[in-house]
Amino acid sequence: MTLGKRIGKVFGALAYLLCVFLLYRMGEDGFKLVCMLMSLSLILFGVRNLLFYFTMARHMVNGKAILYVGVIGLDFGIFSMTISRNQLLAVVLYLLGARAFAGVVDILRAREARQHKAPSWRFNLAEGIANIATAAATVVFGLGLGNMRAVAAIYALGLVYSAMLNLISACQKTAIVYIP
Amino acid sequence: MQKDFHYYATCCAALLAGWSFEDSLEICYSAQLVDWCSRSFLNRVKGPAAAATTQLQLELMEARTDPVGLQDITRIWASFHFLPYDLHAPCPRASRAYRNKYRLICRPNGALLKDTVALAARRGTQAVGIAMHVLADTWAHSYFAGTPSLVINNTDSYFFELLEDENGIEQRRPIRFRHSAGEPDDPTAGQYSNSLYQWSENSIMNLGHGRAGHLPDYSFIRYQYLPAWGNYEEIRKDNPADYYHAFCQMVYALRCLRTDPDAFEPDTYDTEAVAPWADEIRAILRKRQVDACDDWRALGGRIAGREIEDFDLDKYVGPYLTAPKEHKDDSFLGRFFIAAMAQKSMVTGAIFRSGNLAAGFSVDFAEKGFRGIRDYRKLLDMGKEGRT
Amino acid sequence: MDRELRRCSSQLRILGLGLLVLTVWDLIKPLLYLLLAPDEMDSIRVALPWYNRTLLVITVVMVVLIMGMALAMRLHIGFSAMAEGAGKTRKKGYVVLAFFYFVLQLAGMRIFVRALLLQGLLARDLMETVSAAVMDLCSVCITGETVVTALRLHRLRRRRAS
Repeated sequence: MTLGKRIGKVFGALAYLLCVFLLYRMGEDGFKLVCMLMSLSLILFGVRNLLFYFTMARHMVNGKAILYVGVIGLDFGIFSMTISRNQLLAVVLYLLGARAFAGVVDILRAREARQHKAPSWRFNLAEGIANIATAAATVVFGLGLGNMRAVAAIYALGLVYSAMLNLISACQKTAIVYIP
Repeated sequence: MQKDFHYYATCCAALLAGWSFEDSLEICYSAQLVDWCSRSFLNRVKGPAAAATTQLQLELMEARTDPVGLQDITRIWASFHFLPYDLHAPCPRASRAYRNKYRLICRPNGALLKDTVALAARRGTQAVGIAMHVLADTWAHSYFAGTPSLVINNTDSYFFELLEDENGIEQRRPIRFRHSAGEPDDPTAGQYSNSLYQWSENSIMNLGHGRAGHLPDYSFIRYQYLPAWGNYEEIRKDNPADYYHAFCQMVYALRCLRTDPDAFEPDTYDTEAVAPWADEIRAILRKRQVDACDDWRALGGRIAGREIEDFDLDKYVGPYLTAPKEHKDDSFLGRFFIAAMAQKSMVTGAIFRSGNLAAGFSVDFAEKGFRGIRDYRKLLDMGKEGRT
Repeated sequence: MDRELRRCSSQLRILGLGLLVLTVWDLIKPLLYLLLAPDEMDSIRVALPWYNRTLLVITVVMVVLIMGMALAMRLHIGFSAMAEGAGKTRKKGYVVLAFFYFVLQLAGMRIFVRALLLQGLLARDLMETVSAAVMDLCSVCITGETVVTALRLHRLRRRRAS
């Protein structure tokens, strides 16, 4: 990894942790921050796919599908930013959808890993269960109890996890020696 | 390619090139070991981790696909299984990211093939075996790249098997892949498996020829498809012909390595030496079976006049484990590990010098001094002692 | 020519799929808006005097009918394009329909731009305007490209047949 990418990853991790800090400090107002972050992440998803299309996928057979994914993602992100009321429901739906989907994918990966007798299946299964538990907690606290603070805390946990992954990735070393 | 070609066919090629029976066995063992020398194996024998020549399914599933992980994956797969054809291939109006991956596409008779054979010269049968594995795979794994990439390695539903009917007329049968890891392919019914479609560019599912399943590794199959990079140009893959070319080129390369290593030139085939056995070889290559080990073993037995033993992964493990530390590198496995690191170092260096960071950094020791993975110190020390 | 045929077939299939996806998204978006921002609907309803309720109902019904027709048209174009791209039986007339829809979309964009220039852009509406503009532009491009690709494909197939 180049030095620039490592620095980028570290800054990314710091940005995540800063958001967690702000969520903690702002209390229930942290909810607006959560909504904004959620919308930003969707917009970034759309923009990333659009960039991927224009830099690489346009050369690929059937690459145009990536363009549509990017456009829809971008529009969904902008749409989520324009919703001014009932943010709790929006955030709950987003967390529910994202976490439940990630949980199902992790469990399928765990199943495949187990078929291949890979030891990582336990870790994948644990991740899947954690994601689905997060989705369930979101529904209980968000829709059931209407506790905005709890929903913001669940979102913050996800940010902490992403920050850790970024830091681990930035610290990995690699070099190779060439003998002429 | 699979064990039938990397082990038994390589042994046959070595015998036809004039190598002794014992040396031929060592060469074919080393060629097959390239498909088994993973980090798990190296952990078991306490060998250098940097000598890994493959990643098993389990390791791939746990492999990270961040930039560092991707470079590690590319170093292994591009060095041993998908040797890049042209690291300076023109790619007009493309971004750098795309160009870097496009230039890793594997095809036979590239510039790096000559370097691979030259590197194996006078380094022992282990290095020769590794070079033969790399050479053979350039034919089987053509048109795919040894790096996870959707935009290079993807395929779509335009995939046909080419068959001949009873009148000898070519027919196209659509191939509909299934995604079950456990179920074996059934060539009779035309049922094959491939990796799942993943739209993430760097997903492991998009590594190498995963999206074409095991088809490139079957010698009998002829097929037609649209590679993701091909701008809708159809690729016709004739495995029986390609495998025959691979075999004849191996015989030529092995003869050069035995007699005059500097004479090796790409795109040259020793069809004369192979001629007496050509019909039998073609029959084996065309036979509709997923595993041709028995046929190749029988042929090898007839060429050698002796039976060829089966591949035993642990054959040289004991001597390596019991060897004293200062003599480990002189054991069979020790020499294999050093040859593997030299091959990886050469290919990674070539990729890096072409301005491509896909395989990571390559530091010229003569200019910058030692910086990097400790395992490679062995290569430096051996270079100093003149033991290359 | 074979390569061009493959390229046009594949692109038409993807364009048809893109059109379908955008249509479904255009259907889901207002529903999500109703679900997640019901207060906006309340504010519209409260602003109207009672004797205009009938007019409102008639307007809503007409809007729904027209939207339904547009939806059906887009779905027909999308499915037909996908079918032709996949080499199945060609349904006549979808290209004409696509061209008609393309012209309507262009007219709609023109009205949108004029309204924007006349009324100006409010800061709070910026995101919505950008979103609407991006989606409309994308939709126009897809429909236009569908027409062009379908015609090119027809021409190539005729040339090959002859």
